[in-house]
Amino acid sequence: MNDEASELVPQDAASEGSAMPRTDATHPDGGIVFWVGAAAGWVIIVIGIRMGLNDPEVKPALLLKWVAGGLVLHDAVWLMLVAMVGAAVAFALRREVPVVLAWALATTAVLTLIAWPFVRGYGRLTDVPSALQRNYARGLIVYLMVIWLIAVAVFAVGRIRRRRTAQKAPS
Amino acid sequence: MVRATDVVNRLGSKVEGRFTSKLHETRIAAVLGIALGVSFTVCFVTGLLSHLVQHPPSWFEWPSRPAGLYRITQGLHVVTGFTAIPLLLAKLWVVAPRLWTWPPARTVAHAVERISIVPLVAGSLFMLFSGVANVARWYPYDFFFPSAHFAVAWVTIGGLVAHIAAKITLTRDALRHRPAPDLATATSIDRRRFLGGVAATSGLVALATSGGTVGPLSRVSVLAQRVPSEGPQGMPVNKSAAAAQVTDLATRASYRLVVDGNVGTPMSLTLADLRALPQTEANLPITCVEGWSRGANWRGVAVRDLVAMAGGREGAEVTVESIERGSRYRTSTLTHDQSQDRDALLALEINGEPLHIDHGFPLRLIAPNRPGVMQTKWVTTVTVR
Repeated sequence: MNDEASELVPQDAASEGSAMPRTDATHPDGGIVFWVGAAAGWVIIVIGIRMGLNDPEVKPALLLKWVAGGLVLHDAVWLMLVAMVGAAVAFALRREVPVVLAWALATTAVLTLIAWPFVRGYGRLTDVPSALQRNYARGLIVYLMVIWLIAVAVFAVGRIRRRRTAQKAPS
Repeated sequence: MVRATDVVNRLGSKVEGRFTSKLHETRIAAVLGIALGVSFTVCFVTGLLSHLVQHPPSWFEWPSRPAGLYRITQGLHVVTGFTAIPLLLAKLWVVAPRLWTWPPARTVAHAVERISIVPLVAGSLFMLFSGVANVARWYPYDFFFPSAHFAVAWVTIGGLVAHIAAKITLTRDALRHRPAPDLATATSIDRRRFLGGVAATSGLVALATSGGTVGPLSRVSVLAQRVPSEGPQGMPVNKSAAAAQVTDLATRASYRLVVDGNVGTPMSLTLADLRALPQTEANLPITCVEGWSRGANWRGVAVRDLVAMAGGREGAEVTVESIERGSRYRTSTLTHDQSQDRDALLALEINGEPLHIDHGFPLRLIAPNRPGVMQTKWVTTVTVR
């Protein structure tokens, strides 16, 4: 996700030869495969909705809030956060975020997200001591340290190589 | 006078134009889409299997062999779900500019395609969040997790079917190096780096979470719910006797196992009676739906021997019932194939020791190829059908 930053920084040249279409010209033309698939897909979707509505242990209105809430949280918060972090790092480095550092940032975010309920111990019960017994905070920190060590090492090696190549090149 | 639609059009176009990265390209979206499609299909099929095993309709019979099959399918379900998280986030980032496509729909087909994305994306996010929360034993909502997870799984897979139908041609073309004419493409190095990075993150997530079921990875799986070898008698516990409020009842000297139902000789057996019966040994895993599993040596009375002793029909369906009250998992049923299996036991011992009370003392069911929630603990009644 190395290019989030460049997305937030005005780049006229990039905009002209933009990587993205200005309109979505790739939508289906409504061929037979599309319509059969869409019909089959919606039949399955309706089956799922009916299951949710008919199961007394599912509270449909509450479930809908969680499902829709997740979508809003991702599109309105997470995506914006990713873009802002990318922009901030690019601004600090005064250049596009190097690929390996962008990877380390993204992996840190994903692992932290997954680890969060474990680290916080939301599901820990005193009468089930064999569940969630690890020191998850320590485990996460070890993983993040390894990730950043690898990223910094790869970044440094790449930089040294580029310098050597530049020195060897005829002036 | 400026019309509102013009303003919205200009705004949509402006936001969309901000996504200048070469990585927001069709080919990367196609590769990630295929990986996600495979992951979600694996999760759906294994999840559906788990549901059918636990709530079997009349047409479905889960075999008792291979003994470790459920261990594989459920382990795969959980690990695949975890590894799909980086894939989903990467895919949504790659296609994020399409969120701002304006006008939102240009034809009826385009409108149907875009509407179908809503259940797919919303469902995917909920499935992965609720799955991780379940493994973390965290239920921040007031609905029953398995029912909600199962219903939304259908919604998600329906969205996936519709999405595949919409994108199959585009994906095929993109993979044949035929990018859409209005798309600038990433270089192959950019693409390889990005996809390699996503694969590496998925691999790390697998490494960090799969040790609960893949024993050799236990030491490096720092986010696994369990250390498989830790718990009373080297076996994890999902529900303790204290949590089930059975400690007093299970340890009373008056404990009896009642065998009744469609039998010639109903029986009431003390713990000493059970120990005096012919004993059978089996090495079987406990496989939790939350993704951890652990094998052990079990010793006890074979269910088929007990049914035969009571004069029940060979291959009869057998329901075992726990002392525990108020739990939805207090009974479980062995089908005729399962009750006939030589390794379906009412176990008295684990790894050469009497069962720890948290493992179901005095008597628990252990049978091949079953979810842990169906290996009923603190068994007090066996009903032969």
